[in-house]
Amino acid sequence: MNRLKEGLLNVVLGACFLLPAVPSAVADTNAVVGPLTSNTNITWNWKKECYLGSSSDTNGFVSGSNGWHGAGSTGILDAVANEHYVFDSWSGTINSTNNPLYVAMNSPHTVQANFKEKLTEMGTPEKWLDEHNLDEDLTDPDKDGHYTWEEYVADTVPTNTESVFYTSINGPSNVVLNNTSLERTYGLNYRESLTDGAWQNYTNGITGNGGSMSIHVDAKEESDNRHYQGTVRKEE
Amino acid sequence: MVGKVKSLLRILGVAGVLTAPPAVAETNAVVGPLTNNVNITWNWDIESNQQIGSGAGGSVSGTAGGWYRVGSTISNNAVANEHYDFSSWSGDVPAGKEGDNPLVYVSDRTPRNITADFGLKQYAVTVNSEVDGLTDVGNPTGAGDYDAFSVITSTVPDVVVNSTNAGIRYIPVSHDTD
Repeated sequence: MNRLKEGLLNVVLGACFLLPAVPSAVADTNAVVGPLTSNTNITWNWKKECYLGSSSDTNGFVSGSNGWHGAGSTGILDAVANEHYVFDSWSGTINSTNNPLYVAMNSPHTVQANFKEKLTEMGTPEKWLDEHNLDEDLTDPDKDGHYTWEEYVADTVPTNTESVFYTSINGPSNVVLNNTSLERTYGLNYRESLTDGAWQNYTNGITGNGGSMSIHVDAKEESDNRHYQGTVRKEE
Repeated sequence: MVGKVKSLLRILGVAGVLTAPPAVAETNAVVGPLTNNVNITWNWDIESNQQIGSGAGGSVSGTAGGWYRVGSTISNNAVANEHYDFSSWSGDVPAGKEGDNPLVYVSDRTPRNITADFGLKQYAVTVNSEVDGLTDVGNPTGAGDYDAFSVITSTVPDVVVNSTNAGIRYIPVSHDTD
């Protein structure tokens, strides 16, 4: 949480840097010439500076050389991810996946550090595991028959046996998808044999309703046995 | 016998230093022994006083000040000191010759007291302020024409933000004078 706050603060400061024009070099602003005894030419010499601004999303922060840089110099930015996140990319005037980012300051740059969730090999966010006091997803701590990573996909609670996605039959013409989530999409596959043959798509792309959903299916047509399988998908 | 005596007529006793005229005055006519009536006629030249001087910042060379017969050519050159320029003649300058240098005129019956006036030279101060293809960056002050020996100051702001790109700015780090 502290890191999150730090990241947010950094975003605010980064925005403020864009406003004032505070000299970073020692300015020579006064030329006194004379007594004049001939025509005289005064030449002012200037140093060009370019601004390097950075920000980040809320899942990390940027440290490094924000601010004004002499033209031709190099600015260095380091994207630091909050817990359970990893650096993903830079966007803005520079698109890059390098971190730290070395910026040739031949022109002004404004970049944003983008972070993404840290995932297990099965694609489960470590943050989600941490929220359930778990540290791995290839186990079934609530003994409901589903691995923890599967419960993440189904948006069920991995430590609650009652919170599990399953399919049931309600009469001859209704298949029920239980414990659906508003955040997931569901479908239904079927095949004639319980053990053989490929599953065929019956329907898909149905958004969950947060509870049980009944899907009407045709009564058996050519076969006495039709087996249905509910599917759940977490959209990226 | 008639004796002709030349004498000098000083038209005007002009105050100031008078240079002794080179003309030879004839002031004494001796006639006689008289053996008949005699008429002595004195013949006079007319001279006028011509004084040419200078003000601060220069000098005058040429015809020296003094008495000159009417019809004499008076020629003087105004010579400015370093960092000064001749401005004009003032005083009893013949009409239309105020700006002439050298000043050349033919003396007449008018006594003249003429002064060459000088003024400080004018020197040009130019100011260059360029960076990144821009000119007059920071609108520097100080350019113009100034009297010799003037001390002038040119100033620029301590930072100038590019007018079309707020992410670029310029800092004045030094100046050169030549």
